[in-house]
Amino acid sequence: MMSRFIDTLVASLAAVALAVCIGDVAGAQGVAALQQLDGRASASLKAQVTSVADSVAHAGLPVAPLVDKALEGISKGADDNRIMIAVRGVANDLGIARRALGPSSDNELAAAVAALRAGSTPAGLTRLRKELPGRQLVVPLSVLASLIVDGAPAQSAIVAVVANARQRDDSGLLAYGRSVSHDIAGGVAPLTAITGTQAAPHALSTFKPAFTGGKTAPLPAPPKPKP
Amino acid sequence: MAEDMDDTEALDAVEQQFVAQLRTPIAVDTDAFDARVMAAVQRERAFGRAGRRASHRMVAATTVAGVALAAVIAFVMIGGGVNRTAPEHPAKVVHSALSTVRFTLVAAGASQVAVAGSFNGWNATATPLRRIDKNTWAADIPLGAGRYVYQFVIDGHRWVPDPQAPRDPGDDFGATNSVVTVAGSGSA
Repeated sequence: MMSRFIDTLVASLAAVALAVCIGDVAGAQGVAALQQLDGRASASLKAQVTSVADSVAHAGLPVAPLVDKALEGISKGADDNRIMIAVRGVANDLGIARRALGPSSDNELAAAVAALRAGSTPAGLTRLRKELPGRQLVVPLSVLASLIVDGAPAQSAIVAVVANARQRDDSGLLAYGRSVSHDIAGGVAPLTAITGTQAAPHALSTFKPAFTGGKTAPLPAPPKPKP
Repeated sequence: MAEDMDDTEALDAVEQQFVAQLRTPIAVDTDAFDARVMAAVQRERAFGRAGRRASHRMVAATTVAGVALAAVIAFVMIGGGVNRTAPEHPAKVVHSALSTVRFTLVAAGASQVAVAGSFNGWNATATPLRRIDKNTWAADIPLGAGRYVYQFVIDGHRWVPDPQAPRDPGDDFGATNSVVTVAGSGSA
């Protein structure tokens, strides 16, 4: 009886070990993203990126942003050292983003990295997640990054994004971000722009979007002039 | 002394009665006795077989449980793959269709313009723009929901950002990228 139990236990452990191996294979399949480096990256660079990607994958983070960053560097003619600095930076930021946001989609993590690099704090990302429960944060995070890049204070930008995200869908939130950028480019102080967009809807009517996504919401009509 | 003798005799009498009762033969039905013994033996055998069957069932159940646990672990790990993350936020799964995004650039004197970015592996030749007037180039690219960074590539070597698009905060390679964010469906 005891020997049977031991046999069963060993068999179960072997099955678990096999599962772990399969999981690693699945990881290797995910690392197939690294195959994009074939023919474009040097063997040394690919090995270094693969090493970082392996650590990132074991941490439960997406590998694609690393590969993407490497490909960007290759296309722009950066040397391997510079590329690896950038790749490691992305890996580090992905970890910070994950800790700040909790369970997230890959797109959310990528957008969160952008927000962090723009100047948002991890606490700011956490706040965004808590204030907008159940919502995909790709667009809010992207708009947040853009606002900060345009000069808006990070904390104020978070408040503005949360407030607008509660009232608008993603298309509307993107339109808000574009209008703020337009205002800032036109000379409006960033803090004024992010809080005063409602008072400056003319920006929406005159702004020419750089792209016309099929789902972009129509721009609102300018307000009627007050008598 | 005479009293002692009387007590001894009385005690002997009682003992004799006990002995007589104990020596009385008990009627035994040998056939019934044998049947009871054999029934008991068969019950014991049956219990042994049942016990072994239960043991086998326990072993099988443990094995199945182990395999099931292994399968669950494999499923979880495969489900995430290298990207061992939730494919979407658990609270809301968005299945977005592709949106057509128009990229335009005014580039006087350019003989060719392409766009390279995170949507095409930063391939500087894979996505050329077409000239739509003397100096304006454009390309319509289907993109799923998400945030993408890109630059235009003029004449195969000059990288320029999109002057009409938001800027990406990262400038790891010395040139600021542009950003396009595509909203998903049902993202209220």
